Amino acid sequence: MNNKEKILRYFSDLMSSEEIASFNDELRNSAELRVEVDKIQSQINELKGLNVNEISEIYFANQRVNLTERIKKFNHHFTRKVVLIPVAVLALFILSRLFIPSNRTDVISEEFDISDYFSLSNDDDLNDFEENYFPQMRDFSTEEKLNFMNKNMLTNSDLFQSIAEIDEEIVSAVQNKQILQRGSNEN
Amino acid sequence: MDNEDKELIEEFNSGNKAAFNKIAAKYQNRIYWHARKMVGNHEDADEITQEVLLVIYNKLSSFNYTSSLFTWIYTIVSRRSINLINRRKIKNFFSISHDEIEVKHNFDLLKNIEDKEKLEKLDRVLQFLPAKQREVFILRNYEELSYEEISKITGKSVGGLKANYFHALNKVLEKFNNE
Repeated sequence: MNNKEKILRYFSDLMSSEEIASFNDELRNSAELRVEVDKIQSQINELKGLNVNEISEIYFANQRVNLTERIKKFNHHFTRKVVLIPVAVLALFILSRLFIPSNRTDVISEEFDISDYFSLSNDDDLNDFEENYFPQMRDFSTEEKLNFMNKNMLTNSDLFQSIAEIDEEIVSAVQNKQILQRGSNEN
Repeated sequence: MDNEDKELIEEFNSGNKAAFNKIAAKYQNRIYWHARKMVGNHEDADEITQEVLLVIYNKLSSFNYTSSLFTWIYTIVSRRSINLINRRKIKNFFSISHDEIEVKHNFDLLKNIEDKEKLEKLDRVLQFLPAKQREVFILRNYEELSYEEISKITGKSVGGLKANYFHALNKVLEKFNNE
């Protein structure tokens, strides 16, 4: 280890107590080492002398004004968040209750309106049906349409199934309706 | 812990926000100069000082006396300074051209020319060091803290700090001799 490294270890407090004792012995016996230590010590002192630690009080006075403004802004934003977050949660809850449909199936027979099927317009799906049967049913009432379809065994047909949004559940609801039974009895 | 600090904290927590002004007045100079030596320019040091004071204001009520107020404050300054230095490094790394490397205005409030020259020389020497070495060098040489106190601030081991100081001192003396 060269002298410089030894000296820096000494100044960094990296030496063990044995190493320090040995270093001190060497220092006593070596003028060259003493010169080097003095040189490095004076450089460290010169570096410490570069320390500037005073600044105009006006700077801090201005800074306190800026800080007061920032504290006010921070408190304002914090208060807004504390108020807005629960309001937003409540609004979302209300909207979800209003617009997300319920998944209940037991109300189909009450809410279901068969005339909706004949007013629904999905031209592609209804092409075949319209071409073959619609001209005959054009002037029918809803009940008559249902009866016609039931009579002509159309409720199980592909044509009927091809009407938009008809599925088995709805078809059986239609078939369960009193209206169909009345219709078939009449026929 | 300093009794005066303890009294000021208790005053602040009992609702006297003016106690914060006394704390700020007591530490603002040291906060600024530590940040200034770390980041090397007034603009960033000013921003860090404000941020640190804002953190102190907001977090003082949850201060738990496990360290002194001074250690706690310096920990905040230290982290903010190193974060800024790292951000700056990344920003410069990804700049397309050197023209885009941000040059901070070194608007200093020192009127004394001798102080300005000293500070410029110190900046040239310190900015040569990696952030962690710079930090321990500043705290040891200019704040004259023990390794144990620096360890509480930085969270590093005493042995690691001594090694960092050794390397920092070596580089600084080399740079200083070449100035």
